[in-house]
Amino acid sequence: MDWLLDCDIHLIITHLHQNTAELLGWNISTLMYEVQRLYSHDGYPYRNRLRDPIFLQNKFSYLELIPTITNRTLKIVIRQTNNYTKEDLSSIKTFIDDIKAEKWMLKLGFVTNSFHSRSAKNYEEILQHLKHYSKVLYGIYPYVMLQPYLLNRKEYKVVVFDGKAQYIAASAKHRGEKSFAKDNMESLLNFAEYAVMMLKEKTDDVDCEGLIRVDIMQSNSHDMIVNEFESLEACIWSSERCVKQEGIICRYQAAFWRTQLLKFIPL
Amino acid sequence: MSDSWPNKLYSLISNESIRQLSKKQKTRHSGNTSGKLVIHCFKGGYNSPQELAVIEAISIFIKQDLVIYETMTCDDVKKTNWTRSRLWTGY
Repeated sequence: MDWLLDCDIHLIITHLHQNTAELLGWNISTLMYEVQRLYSHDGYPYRNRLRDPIFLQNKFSYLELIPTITNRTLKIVIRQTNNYTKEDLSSIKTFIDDIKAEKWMLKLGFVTNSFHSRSAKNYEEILQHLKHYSKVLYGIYPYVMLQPYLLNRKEYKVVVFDGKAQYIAASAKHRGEKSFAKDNMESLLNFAEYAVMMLKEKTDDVDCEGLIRVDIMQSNSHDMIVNEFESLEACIWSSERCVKQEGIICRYQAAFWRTQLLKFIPL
Repeated sequence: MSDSWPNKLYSLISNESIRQLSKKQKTRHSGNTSGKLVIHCFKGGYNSPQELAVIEAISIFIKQDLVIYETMTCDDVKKTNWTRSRLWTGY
């Protein structure tokens, strides 16, 4: 942060957790706190954009803003030496009794590529995983999210720029995936725009001017849901037939960055 | 999808922004004696998806020799041994 403050204009063009938590083992909560030192410094991000949950990849923070279009999620604080409280355990029990899913998924916020994600069949397995998180990840990641396991593993990644859906980016194939919008791609684009708009209505912190990739999955009751949002580090490769769109998006992004710089060079 | 918006922005800013950037140099921070605007960019990994767009955005200023653009990666942080404790305590 000192290095970023020691200039005229700072830029952060990555999600903060990328490598810093995964490779350097830095504490995410401290990092989120430290980055606020850039609040009044010229650059991107600054002011309330430093609290943007997509920029920070504070996944629970943005999922809880749009609960009607996401998988049901319980936030569990990772405790030191497996000292989960009575309240932690009781909320987990209530959550799984209430939903009654076949399987459960434990996911971290502030990560990419499902880093340290685990599935669990029941309450006991959930507790085993929490013990593992406590041992390995306490002091780095603040919380883990518990969700019903999504039976359809198909995920569509929609590229949205300035609130408008542009195209569906390529994504890796997963075992157990089943297309759920093959004949109606338009509905995916509309849903992605709706999700971004909904988020924008809930908070001023999210930067909706630039690029947001909306990852869409299907709930176990067959509704479209937001799995996650990404922005700065989002992979937006398109399928072969629409490579041109990547070029156009790159130009849009260049214009976006130039706009950010021009905020500090008054015309 | 039209790309008219970036084109409009580029044509609008090209001359005026360079003139204004020259003005801003006069108010640069005290440690900078180069006479240029200094941009520090933390990009995480070596292949940051956004860097191409950022370079394109500032290329006009670089061509005019108006800015110094410096980047830092996580690997730089690692090499300079910026451990968590050193970072938070200000070493």
